[in-house]
Amino acid sequence: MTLIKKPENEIEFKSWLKAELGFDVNEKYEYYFETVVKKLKTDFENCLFWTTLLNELNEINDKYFTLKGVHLLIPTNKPNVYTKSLDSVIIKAFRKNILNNSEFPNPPKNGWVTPDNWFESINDIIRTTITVKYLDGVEFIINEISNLCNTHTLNFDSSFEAREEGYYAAHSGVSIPFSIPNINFSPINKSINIEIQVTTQIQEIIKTLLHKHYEEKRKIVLPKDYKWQWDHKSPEFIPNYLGHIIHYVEGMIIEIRDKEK
Amino acid sequence: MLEKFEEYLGQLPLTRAIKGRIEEVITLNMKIKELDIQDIFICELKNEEGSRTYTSLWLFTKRYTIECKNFLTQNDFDLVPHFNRVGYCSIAPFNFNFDEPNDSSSVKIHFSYSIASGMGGVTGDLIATEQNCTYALYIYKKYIVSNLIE
Repeated sequence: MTLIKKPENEIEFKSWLKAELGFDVNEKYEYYFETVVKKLKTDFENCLFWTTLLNELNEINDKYFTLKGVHLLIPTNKPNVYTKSLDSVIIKAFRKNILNNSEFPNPPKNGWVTPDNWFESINDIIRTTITVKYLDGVEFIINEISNLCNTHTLNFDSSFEAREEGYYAAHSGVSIPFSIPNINFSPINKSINIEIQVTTQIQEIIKTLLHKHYEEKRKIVLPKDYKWQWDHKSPEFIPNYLGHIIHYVEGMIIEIRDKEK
Repeated sequence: MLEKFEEYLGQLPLTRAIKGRIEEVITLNMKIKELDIQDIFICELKNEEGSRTYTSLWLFTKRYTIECKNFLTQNDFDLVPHFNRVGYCSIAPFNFNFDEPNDSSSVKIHFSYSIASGMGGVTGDLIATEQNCTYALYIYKKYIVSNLIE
């Protein structure tokens, strides 16, 4: 009987992935991954859903204006499409398979996340962010995207995240069928989730500033009973409370705006 | 209802939401008085971010001028008879030689009704940018200059 050593970082995880599950994430795989991701990005940018959504943003902005009397979107801020790097995918797989897997060494509830399935199972390999000026615009945009997905008969899912750590954002995903090459470069059809985050301008600024903090935090397992709220010197204290304060201020802005009307 | 003004509306980058609101405002005005609207005009300006802001919607019949203030967000309409009642008017074009407007063209029009007409103190302002300048000039000539009190 051999004891499987639990990987402690993403480098050990890569070795574990090869030894235990037989997936070698080598240079050849890196090239394959880049090819697939580039194709997915291009295909998404040219797909009818995305081009229609980009054209509809003016419409959505004007619809909001007729209801609220203020512009929702920043005209110069057109949403871009971003891709996840292989390194980030490995970190996410490490988190899902190891860090957050209470069943280890058995697979997590939904099975191992591997190169065989991560294009479908990691939901933000292709992602975009729509930035709005006002907090109530987040739900407004999500509803409009949902309507657009219905028109295009695409599956749409959304969630409004509000974490104890001061993280507030709306995550939504649209599932779109794409043809991608398999590892032997033969075409296969897969339904890929495209993540559409909707956030406010202020939250976007904070998110950018705190991105590194969250990335680092995800790699660390804190003791279960750790209370960052009582440790003002902890790296969590300021960013987490800043997230809560900003969310509150954004709510107040809406209150003032609507009272002015 | 908007078919009559399609040529004009087609020159402005109006979304369905705005066209819908224009239609709604015209319908509301028709409920006050049966109007044979000959022309409409939308006041607009470009803000610092480059997006257009629409302020007043103007409706013109042979006899009346109606201003629908901040028409996208509120219902606030006034109606005045304009025939031979304008006491003063001015037009201030910017990068617009009254022929072909360009991307930086804009025009401001101001007019007031004469005291003699019984509407002293009533004023109006039209603002337009780009292609809308041509139409502002058309409105200026047809409904303002031609109604100057002799």
